Amino acid sequence: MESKILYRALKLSEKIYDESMYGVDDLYRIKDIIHSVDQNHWDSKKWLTDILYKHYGYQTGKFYIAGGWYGMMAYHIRKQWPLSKLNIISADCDPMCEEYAWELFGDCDIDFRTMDVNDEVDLSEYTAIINTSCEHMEQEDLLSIIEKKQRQTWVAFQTNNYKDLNSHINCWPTAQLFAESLGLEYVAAVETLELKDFNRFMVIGK
Amino acid sequence: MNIICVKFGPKYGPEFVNKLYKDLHYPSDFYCYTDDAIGLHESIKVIPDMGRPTLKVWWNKLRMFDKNFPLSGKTLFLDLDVKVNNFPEHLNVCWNKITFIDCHWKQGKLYNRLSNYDVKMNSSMITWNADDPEVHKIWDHFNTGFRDYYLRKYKGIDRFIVHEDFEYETFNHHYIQSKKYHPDINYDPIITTFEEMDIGIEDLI
Repeated sequence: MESKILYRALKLSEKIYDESMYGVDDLYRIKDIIHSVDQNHWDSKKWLTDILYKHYGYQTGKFYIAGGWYGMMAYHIRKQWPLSKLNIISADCDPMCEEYAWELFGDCDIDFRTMDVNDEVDLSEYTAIINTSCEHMEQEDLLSIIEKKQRQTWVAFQTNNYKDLNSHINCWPTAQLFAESLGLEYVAAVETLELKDFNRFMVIGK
Repeated sequence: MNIICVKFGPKYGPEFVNKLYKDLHYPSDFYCYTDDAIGLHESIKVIPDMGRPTLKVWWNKLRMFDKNFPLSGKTLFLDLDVKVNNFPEHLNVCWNKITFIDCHWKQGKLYNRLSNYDVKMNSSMITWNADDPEVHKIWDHFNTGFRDYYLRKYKGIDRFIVHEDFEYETFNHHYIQSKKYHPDINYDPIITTFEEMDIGIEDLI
């Protein structure tokens, strides 16, 4: 974890607290933002970036990050692909994610947007589609992404087996079963990251 | 009046639904909104899982406020872990506004803290008019881009309804007993609730 990111998260927390005193009271955002920059999330996003980089093989392209939350995934991608020839769009259906992602990673040449996975997004223009929030999304929507993408477009999806949270509606018991559920034509990697209380699963393919 | 309960997941079996149905034996349409109707009494009207968005356990209670939910008119909801004592045929409630239980037994400054997301109402019993557009707004508000955030922020629908500033009425205090917070009472409640207590079907008899 980088101190620059942690410092920005702290300043953002201060801003949200100040806002709660005089305007919108949403102190839970502070907890949510802290959670988004914790070591588990840092490690799992770095893990995806490292393995996708090995397989992708180019310095250019256009990546779409679905469920991008406050932008940590996009930040890792930008670090690995520093050239502006790689275009990064990080989308989340929660409008506050866009606002806060700009504050955390606004100088990283990333386009943060508010978009729902069900919105009519033209996925044919992307060279990779990344989603590290699959446990929060309907399986039907994941399959729809795969159906709408170009055949040569990479997908890098993560889910987990942590079923105890009410927002986790699409957990899987193993990486292999998750991979099979996606029905990709080509599978480059099916991996498991063992964390303290649960396992995170990743599938990379086309 | 419609009577409805919600059964999702394995925590409460069909015997809890059937018990509720038998305890409320006066003429009413009794519905169960569920992902598993196996074992339910044949006279219970089943409303099957309405699908997307996928919700877990108690969050499915919010679905009852969807304008497309197949109910109309005066509706009473009861949780499966409430004990029915002497339920009247005609409830004296305000049908013009959604009504919840007032947890008057929750006392202390803790509940007034800005950062405390616990609330002094609960949804073990709810009455509303299923045609009321104000009630439909609860479901519509939940199903915005913030839905996943709400699921993380709030432990359940009670906190969502209170902290998202929906207006509601509360039942007369003597209608309800909380076994956990108010074990000794000197009135005759129509239902007894067991907030967060582990109970079996024998506790409801």
